[in-house]
Amino acid sequence: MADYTQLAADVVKAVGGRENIIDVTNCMTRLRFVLKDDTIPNKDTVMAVKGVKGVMNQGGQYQVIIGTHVNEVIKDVRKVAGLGEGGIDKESIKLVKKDSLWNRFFKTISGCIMPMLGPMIAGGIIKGILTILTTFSLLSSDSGTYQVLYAAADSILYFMPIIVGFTCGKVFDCNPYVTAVVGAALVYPDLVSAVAAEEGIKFLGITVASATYSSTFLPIVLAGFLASKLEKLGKKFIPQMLQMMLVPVFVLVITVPLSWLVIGPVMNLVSNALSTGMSAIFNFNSVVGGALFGAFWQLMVVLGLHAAMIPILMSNLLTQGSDPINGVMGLTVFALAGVSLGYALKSKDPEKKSLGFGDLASTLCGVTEPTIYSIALPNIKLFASAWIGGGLAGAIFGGLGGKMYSFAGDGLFRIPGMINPEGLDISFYGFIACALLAFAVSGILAYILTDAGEAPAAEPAAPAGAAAAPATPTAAATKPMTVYAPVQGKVIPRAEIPDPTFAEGVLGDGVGIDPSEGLVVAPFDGEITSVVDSKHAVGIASKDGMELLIHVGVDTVKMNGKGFHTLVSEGDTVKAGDELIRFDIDEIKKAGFSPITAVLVTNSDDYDSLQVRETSGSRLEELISLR
Amino acid sequence: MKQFTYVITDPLGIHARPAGLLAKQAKSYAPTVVTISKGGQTVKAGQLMKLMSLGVKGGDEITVSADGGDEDATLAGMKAFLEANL
Repeated sequence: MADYTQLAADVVKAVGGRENIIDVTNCMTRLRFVLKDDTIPNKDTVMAVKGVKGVMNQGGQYQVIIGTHVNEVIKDVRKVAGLGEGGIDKESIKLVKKDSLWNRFFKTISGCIMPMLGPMIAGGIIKGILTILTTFSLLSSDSGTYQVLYAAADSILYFMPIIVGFTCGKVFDCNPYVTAVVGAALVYPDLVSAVAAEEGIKFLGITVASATYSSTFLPIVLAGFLASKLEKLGKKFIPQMLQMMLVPVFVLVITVPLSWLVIGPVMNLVSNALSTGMSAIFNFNSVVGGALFGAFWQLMVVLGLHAAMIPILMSNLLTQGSDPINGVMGLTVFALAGVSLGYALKSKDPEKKSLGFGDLASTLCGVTEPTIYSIALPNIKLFASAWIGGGLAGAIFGGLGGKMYSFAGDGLFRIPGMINPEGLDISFYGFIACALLAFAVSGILAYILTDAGEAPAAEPAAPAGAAAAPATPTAAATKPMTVYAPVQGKVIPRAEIPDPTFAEGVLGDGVGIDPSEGLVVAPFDGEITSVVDSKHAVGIASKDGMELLIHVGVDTVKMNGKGFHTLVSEGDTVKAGDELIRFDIDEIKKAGFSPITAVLVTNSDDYDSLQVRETSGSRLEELISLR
Repeated sequence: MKQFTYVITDPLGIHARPAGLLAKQAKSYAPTVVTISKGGQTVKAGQLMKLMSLGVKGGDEITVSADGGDEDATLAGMKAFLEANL
């Protein structure tokens, strides 16, 4: 291994010394510094350091381009800069810039949630439709039809730990399948029922606390974080050859029991304390209690801390025939509905607009998760709008002494439950008035606080570095076009493709994908314009004239087709998703080349803008949009 | 229209990377239109995809033509480029 101590020392000095360095990570070719003051380094001084190929100050990071040996160099840099091994994990590095811990926490959370929003909102909509059908007696909730459709809608929530496990594995940069398995172990049906049974079960003599992980995400995010740390640890002492099996063994046998034994009990403890405390407050002063519940009920639900409340509420309703707290909770839904509407009205981007209206519909039907995860958590100010509206309405409703009299749905379907069997009273009128108040206050606040953004052109290009290409408008480019990801794997900015021709955009603008599977599919409907004899690249043109080059690997032309199979020929018409090339990632690596695949719009100059979308790395996700 | 012929020396031929450079080079002579022909097929050199679809290999002979504008300077530039890169 070469010695990079000198280079490291020079670079650290040039960027302002160790006092100026908060942290440093690396990507394919660059050292990415987070500096206290990024005006200190003089670009020319840094450039002058021998071994530095370039400098960029971008996205809160001071990037020093070193080359592909950067992963060796960084070890020395960290030593010289006085930073421990590993450091802050990749995700938080992106967020470290002037973000409070709170914001960073919620950004990590929304990073775990974002990829699953589509199906989650779909679930909300299906549930809403089912509620309408059952309310109007068009469908019985006992019927098989209902149950099958309900499963379709509810599974994403019921099995949320599995799905979040997968996405958080990606956020924490560890094997997402392992974290998905950890999530699955938290909702494993046999275990759940065994733990919930009266006699319970013990793990090595320790009683496993009964806890519900369905519909929660915080436990699995914590467990996933632990798993990611264990995975890194495991990779240190388990021999390379055995890592594939033994690292997951190591991670799973520790993470799963710990999750059940520690996270569950802690959740129960906090949940119990909260519910006892808040009930006591409510009994002591219903205005204060109403305000607290109105404001924070939804947050408690999100954090999975509401479980202990449920029995109290149920028993109130069953023993006293009515319950005030449930009424207040019903109001929080309207606060979130208001937030959805405010967000929808203010956002200019049609996609965000439709998201807001979709969330509104779902929330009015009593399903709040879409609003919480797509709008409120990503922007905590908007969640706060709901707290304020809900808290205010909750305080008034608590003060009025309104109660809920029967089990009812949520959202609009909560209203029948507010009818006093002895006749309409303050519970009903008060609820409607307070619901409107919560809706209006939260809606107005959300409207004020939502960043309108501009029409989609200004939507931030997700991965840093993949800047929109400034280009001259031409007649060819009028309507927006989308390139779907042709290859599965992590998307990297074009500038980080380890080949100058691609990186500098000589062949056009686009992205690189580090493939996790050796398959290229058509990224849109179009015609194959070129297939090279060495089978590693394919050109495809859309009807509207967009030309795209998919080039598998760097320098792979030298493999002369070995390890590659082309499945189409020139002039073929293909549909998005059709298989184009199969290739062997290991073969490429064995030949000594990088398998990073360039996806480049070769006529990107013909478009006004090219945006790279944030993806989770799956095939056929929206990758690039052009207009 | 003026033209010259050139035999590709790079054994890998005009693959993606040099094709990109070549297309860029050819476009830089606008309004002069540079075309490249091989075996009876002619494409505009500025069009990357078309250029790649010619499938030019090492040892193949191509014909480079320039039409309009300063044809001589264009061909001289193209020749220098080919000699340096292909």
